[in-house]
Amino acid sequence: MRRSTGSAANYPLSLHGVGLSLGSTDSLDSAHLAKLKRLADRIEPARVSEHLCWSSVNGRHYNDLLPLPYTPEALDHVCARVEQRAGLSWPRDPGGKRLELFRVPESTLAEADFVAEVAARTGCGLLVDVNNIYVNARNHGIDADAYLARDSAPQPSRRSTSPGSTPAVLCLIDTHGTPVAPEVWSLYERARCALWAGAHADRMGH
Amino acid sequence: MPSLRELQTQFAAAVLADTGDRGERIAIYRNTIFANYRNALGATYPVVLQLVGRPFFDAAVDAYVLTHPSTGGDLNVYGDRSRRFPGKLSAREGTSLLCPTSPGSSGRSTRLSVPQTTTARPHRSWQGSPPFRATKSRCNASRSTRRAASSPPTIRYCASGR
Repeated sequence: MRRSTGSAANYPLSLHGVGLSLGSTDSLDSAHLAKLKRLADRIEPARVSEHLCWSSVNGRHYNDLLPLPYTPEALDHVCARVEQRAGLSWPRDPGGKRLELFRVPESTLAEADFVAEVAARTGCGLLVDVNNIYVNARNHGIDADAYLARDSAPQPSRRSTSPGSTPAVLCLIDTHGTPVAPEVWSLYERARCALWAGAHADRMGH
Repeated sequence: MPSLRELQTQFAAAVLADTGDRGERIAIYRNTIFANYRNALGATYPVVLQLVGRPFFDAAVDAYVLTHPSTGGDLNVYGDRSRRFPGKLSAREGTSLLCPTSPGSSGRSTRLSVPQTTTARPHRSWQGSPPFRATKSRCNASRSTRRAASSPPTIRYCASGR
């Protein structure tokens, strides 16, 4: 914490959360929010982001990033939650798109449409993991370039590439433990050149 | 169409039950979730982990998680609040797990012999402040002849005589 505070004085830091359970139908954890706010107040990050997913229901936390169904109800719910969180007046509030191994069959909206609509409605930016888009595209048979084109949110804030796509028997998983695959770098280059001139390359290790 | 809450409830049940009808990809979530808890509690109780070994520890964590759900998004807090976790090793849900992990030794409890470099106070080690340094090379497990089913199994610490 001391190092983070010191670094914040010299570099713009970004807080990227994993435990808020933004898409859960449980009420937001006020204690968790308060802790996040204390941390944000102390570090004064350039950005605060969370994952567009859920991790708790009926009072039980699963401490993992679980997939949302892409339905109108989920869209309304997530947008309301983003607005609720934005009420804490953090510097910025991009939503992070997560890796998705499992597509909820009840989904009626395309993933890219869902994500873009959240950004459009709430005004938040998007922290999009290009590696996750690649993995999701492979796992679910969608066109990654088309996804990126649709995913051009009004305020694209950052694009990241996290390392480690590992071929599995059934699907690709993002291990964060191996070098970025060449195909992901290629996709990142296409995204950077065609869509977002100001994209950044991050190597996430959470 | 089921509501969002119903879908989330169904998904969570499928993850925990590991018998969901939504394919093997559910198992990846299940494995990740349980691995997260094993790592979190392993980081909180490193001495216990070394004493009982990874296979035993992981099995105990899996049983513990099912009966003691996490109630917060911060895994560190879950581990911190679970100070009773090592104690649960000798409780009901840990009974079958206290059998030795070596082949052919089922049905017997495990006696852990830890070299006494300082006064052994297990309860302190469970709180993240180990009173002694137990390494794998210095922590020898030997079997007692007492049946695990005959009384609540426990982890017993004793001096090695050195």
